[in-house]
Amino acid sequence: MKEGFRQSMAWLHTWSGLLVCWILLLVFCAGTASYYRNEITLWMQPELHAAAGQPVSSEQAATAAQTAMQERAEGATRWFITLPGERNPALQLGWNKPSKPGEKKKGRRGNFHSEKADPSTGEVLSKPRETRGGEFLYRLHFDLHYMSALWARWLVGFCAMFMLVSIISGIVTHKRIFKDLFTFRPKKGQRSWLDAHNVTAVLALPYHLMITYTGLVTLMFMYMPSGVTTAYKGDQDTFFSEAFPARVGETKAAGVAAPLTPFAPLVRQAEQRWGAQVGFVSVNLPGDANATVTLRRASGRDMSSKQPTMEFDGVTGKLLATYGEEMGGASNTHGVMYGLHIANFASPLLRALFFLSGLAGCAMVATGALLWAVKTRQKQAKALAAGKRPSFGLRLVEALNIGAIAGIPIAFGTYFWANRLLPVGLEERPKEEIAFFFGAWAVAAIVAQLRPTRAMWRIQLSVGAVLLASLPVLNGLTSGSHLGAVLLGRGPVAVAAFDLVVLVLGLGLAYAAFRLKPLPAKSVKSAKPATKADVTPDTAAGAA
Amino acid sequence: MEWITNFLVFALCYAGLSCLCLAMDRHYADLHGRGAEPPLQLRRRLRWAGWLALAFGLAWAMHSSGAGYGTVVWVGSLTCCGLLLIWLLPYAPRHAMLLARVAGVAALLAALVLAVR
Repeated sequence: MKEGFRQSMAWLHTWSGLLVCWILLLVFCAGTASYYRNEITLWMQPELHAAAGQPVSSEQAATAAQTAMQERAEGATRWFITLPGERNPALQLGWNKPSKPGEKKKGRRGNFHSEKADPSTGEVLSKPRETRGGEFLYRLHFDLHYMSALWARWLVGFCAMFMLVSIISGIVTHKRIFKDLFTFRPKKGQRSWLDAHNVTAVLALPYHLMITYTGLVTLMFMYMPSGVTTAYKGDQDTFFSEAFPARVGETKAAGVAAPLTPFAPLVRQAEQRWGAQVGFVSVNLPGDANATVTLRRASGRDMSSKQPTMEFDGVTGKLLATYGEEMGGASNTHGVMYGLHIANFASPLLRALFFLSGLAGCAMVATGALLWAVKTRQKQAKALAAGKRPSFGLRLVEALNIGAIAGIPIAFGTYFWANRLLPVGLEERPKEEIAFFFGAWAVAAIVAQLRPTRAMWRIQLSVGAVLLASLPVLNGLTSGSHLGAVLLGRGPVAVAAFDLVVLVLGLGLAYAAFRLKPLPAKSVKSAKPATKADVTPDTAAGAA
Repeated sequence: MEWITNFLVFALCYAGLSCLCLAMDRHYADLHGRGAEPPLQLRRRLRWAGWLALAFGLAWAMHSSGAGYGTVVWVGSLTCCGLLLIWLLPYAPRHAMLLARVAGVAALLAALVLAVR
């Protein structure tokens, strides 16, 4: 009976994993990259590299923002100001223009204007090229693309649920989880793939469990609405305003003009109260007698994603209310789970550890997919030796593996190349960059379906390697902040770090391609060489 | 001093994992030749040292950066050190163990520096 249970779990592990592994790989790669989405966006806007300079106090930045907004955001009904922090040196200003009567609505964000400004003067930074930057990768990892966000989130949630099933059944199946904890035997075919799969899964197991579970938690109100529906009798809005009271309310305008209170004393008051920096300022109805100013604490080292806010009267500067300073247990649990998933609290070192664990996750998914192909090929070895063709399923999986594992790094690399090579003034530039991402990936995937061979692995891995490893050179040629300049202290460290990481990932891919050199005629039978190094880097590269 | 704190957690994790690894027959044999088994007393000592190092690492991480944050740092360090150790083992087992000794000594020194300060 016991053996039967374990075997049925092995079956569950195999199929729940295989069914969703290619989407999961994309989600994992894009999600891992999202740990550095600010840095990626900075890399993709070389016009801003020079501005990433002196830190400015949040009081000073808030004052500069207020002056700038009063000059430039005439007639706006809401202001959104993100103050500079350790990972975003620029001041981010946003406002919505009131839609004129008779004017067609341009969608939800149609009338929203946003720009980056110098935090000490409030002047607009030299207008950077338009790009979605790291934001695209972040959205990609739960909204996918070219489909409605709602369907995408259901799809990703479905995959995440399968992943959770896969992880738990995997733990049950893994008989020697402690005995084999440190075991990796390279160059032993299927054995090595299994070892690599086990090692990347078990060593980062706390991370895998955490990220999958909290990933589901981030969208739990969508996946499991019944609790809220029952408790609030279907009134979702009341629930959200009670659960997340910090959201800017819908106060009616008085229609009487009144000057806005200066931000600096408010910021000082909030920082004294919290003992931490203010990260975000929003203003409702600026210039009106009913104006309110809301300050939100910057995410510090606190694990919860929920930050307290203070609401002030926008004319007198009187404190009206505070929210989120004393949170209930459930709310706090939700905040910590959400916080763990997005890791905004992480110091640079901890962020790097999250990134590394994310790469281990990519490697786990990729080795799992490869393992299925290697095992199935083994089962069909006799038929294959007799000159028969591989079964349809095997061929399909092998082709999808190439398209995903070797194809995703190509897509990432192409996205970054397009960012630098497309003309700066191009119409709808962000869309074009994204089209290059998916275009390159589609080509890789289709070509892989046509010829899923060892040579195809080699070619695609090499292409990915060249695209990624040459990014530092491209950066040097198309911006002033090449590696040398940054090492001499004349340029942002984040850009140099990006260059080095993609270089390492590219070299990893190159090594994998090298290991796939044509076999001597006699051992053609074993289709792929098997070491961890062969797969870790190529999946990893996607996450750059 | 933040880096020395982080370093201590890392060094303890690496040294601890290496001790636990060396206490296992297979990995002891990797180093001392096929079929070699660690003497009972050595095995016991390695296990104790390994678990102690890991526990002390966790305690130190929690003490220096808070229970929640410290635990996350410690788990992340374990994953990182574990991957490094496993990657080194098949290719350069002696270097892996040399690194473990260095990490152990460095951890003692770092702990001393932090205690004196």
